[in-house]
Amino acid sequence: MAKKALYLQLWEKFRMQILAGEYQYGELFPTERELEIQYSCDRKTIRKALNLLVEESLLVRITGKGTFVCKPDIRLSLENLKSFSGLLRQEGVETEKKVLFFKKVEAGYRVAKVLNIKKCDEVYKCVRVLYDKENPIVLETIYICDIFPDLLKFDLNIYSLFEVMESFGQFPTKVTEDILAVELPETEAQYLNKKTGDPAYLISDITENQEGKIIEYNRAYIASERFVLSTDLF
Amino acid sequence: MARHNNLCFEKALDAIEEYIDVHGLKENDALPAERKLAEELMMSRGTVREALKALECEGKIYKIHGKGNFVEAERHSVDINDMQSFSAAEKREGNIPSSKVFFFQMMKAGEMVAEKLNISSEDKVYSLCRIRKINGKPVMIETAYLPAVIVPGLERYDFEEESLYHILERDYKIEIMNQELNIQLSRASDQEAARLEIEPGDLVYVEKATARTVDNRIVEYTKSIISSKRAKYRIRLSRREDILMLDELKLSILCNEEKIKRQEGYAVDSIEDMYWEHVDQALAQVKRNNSKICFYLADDVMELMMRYISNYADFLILNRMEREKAKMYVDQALERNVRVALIVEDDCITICSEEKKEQICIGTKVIDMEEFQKKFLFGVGREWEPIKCVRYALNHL
Repeated sequence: MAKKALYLQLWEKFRMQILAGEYQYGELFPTERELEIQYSCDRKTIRKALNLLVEESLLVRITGKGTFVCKPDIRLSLENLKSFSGLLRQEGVETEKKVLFFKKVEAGYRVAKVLNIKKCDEVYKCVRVLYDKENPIVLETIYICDIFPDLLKFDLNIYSLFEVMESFGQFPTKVTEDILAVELPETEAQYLNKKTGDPAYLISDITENQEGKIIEYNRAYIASERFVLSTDLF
Repeated sequence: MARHNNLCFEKALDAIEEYIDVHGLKENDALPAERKLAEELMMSRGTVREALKALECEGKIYKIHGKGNFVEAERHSVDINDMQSFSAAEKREGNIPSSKVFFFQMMKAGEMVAEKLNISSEDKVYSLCRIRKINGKPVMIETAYLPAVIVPGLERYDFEEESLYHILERDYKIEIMNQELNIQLSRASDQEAARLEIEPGDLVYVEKATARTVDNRIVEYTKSIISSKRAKYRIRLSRREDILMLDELKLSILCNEEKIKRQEGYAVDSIEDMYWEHVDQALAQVKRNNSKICFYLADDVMELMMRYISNYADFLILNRMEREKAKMYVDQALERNVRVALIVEDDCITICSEEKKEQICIGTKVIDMEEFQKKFLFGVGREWEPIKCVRYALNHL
């Protein structure tokens, strides 16, 4: 049986190391020089193996800085109608919610446009951060139509917003979700413990109830490097 | 200052967006200079500047050094729900899609592609790399790999003019059932940036998709690099229909016999009537909650149960029932609410709906009915055709 080419053996080995979590996301991968010495083979072979990993997006080469591991560790399954904490829990990530702001405010032009109301109408606004073991990973700003008697008395640190809405007879039935990739603006970056300009997903959800009325508008910034977004749709 | 408390900043964002809409500013139109804009909006220059920076981060405006701020084009929407997406969807919105073939060749799969396609690395694949553009602007670099053995002669097509999925369906009779998509963010390499006409280091989506047929065969693996300034993903989700699977045992659990025993002054003739009265109520409640019900019956079935099937069942699965009886139940059920009924026999499954009956031979395959039910209802919940649901169920046992 023919032995596998050396570069392929190395590729498999590095790949397993990365996928097994031996390197943290964002960690510097050993340099070609270091690997040359460690595995006693020539640079061309090393580079061939690394190229395969770069092609697979397990490694990323940044000119002037080095080669970094970029394997995300959380899969966000997009085809489920669930809150972020629900989606993360499905992946085994228990999050803690911290509500930073929860008040009734004037909708303003942009929010009114989305919710199909007047800009002077009032809406509930909730700003919330989801943490995974002390690391902030999601920053949500949620606007809810003023169709609930008094939403403010619910502690959204504890209760799921969907559950609260359902208890008032409003069932999230249809969601239109837009996923954008952005560079984090200053304040949002601070909330997520990242640098201004770091890449993030901006996920905007517009939720309709069972009668087709728009009841919620949710804008969430998600630090992107930990996530793979996936869907299995037909 | 905490953003959520910063009313001035939020007001500035609102005001600028309103200004753009009210003045009908479109793609590449210039906004007034910062100072003038602040005057017009009656806001401090600092607040306006901060708001403009945020809009730039979001990709709503762009800046040209020395010239000012301009409205950015709306991002092209990559519609996840629509697999035919690129060509078909664009034409609908009046945008003009076009493709340029970068390379198209047959080659050995290699380790990585072979793993994705579930073939050997020595097998031949077609590799089709296209740059997809909207109105002349590149949006994505898409490289598709297909096992050569399933699409012989693919090289005769002009993929700048035709849609790959269309050709697969029309000429190769390959129908793609589903696509599994994985999306990550990365930064454009020099080469990718050049092809996409963006700056090296700009944010891009790396999308990897695997397309399968109803028989669970992988027919295509695609890797795409998509400019995040020019595209966004859109996905539309609805609450899946909840489908309750019921057999006689589960019915009794549903009714919770304890409840019946504790009732007082319940004017009925017998315990049995009381039991079924509760079944009625429980099922009616399930229907009110907008769930669908699938009744699963094996061997023989109580006459009484048929009454409930008539009133509440949306789907019916009869397993190894005497043929004449099964047909009778199915006919009755189809006259009422049942949309689809399956008669499962030793060697075949008959799929009955109001419009037609179809049969699938299953040979001597032994079926795990619980798994089969789940997979069948999985397809039903996604509103596939009944025969597709059964084929999917059989292929995924």
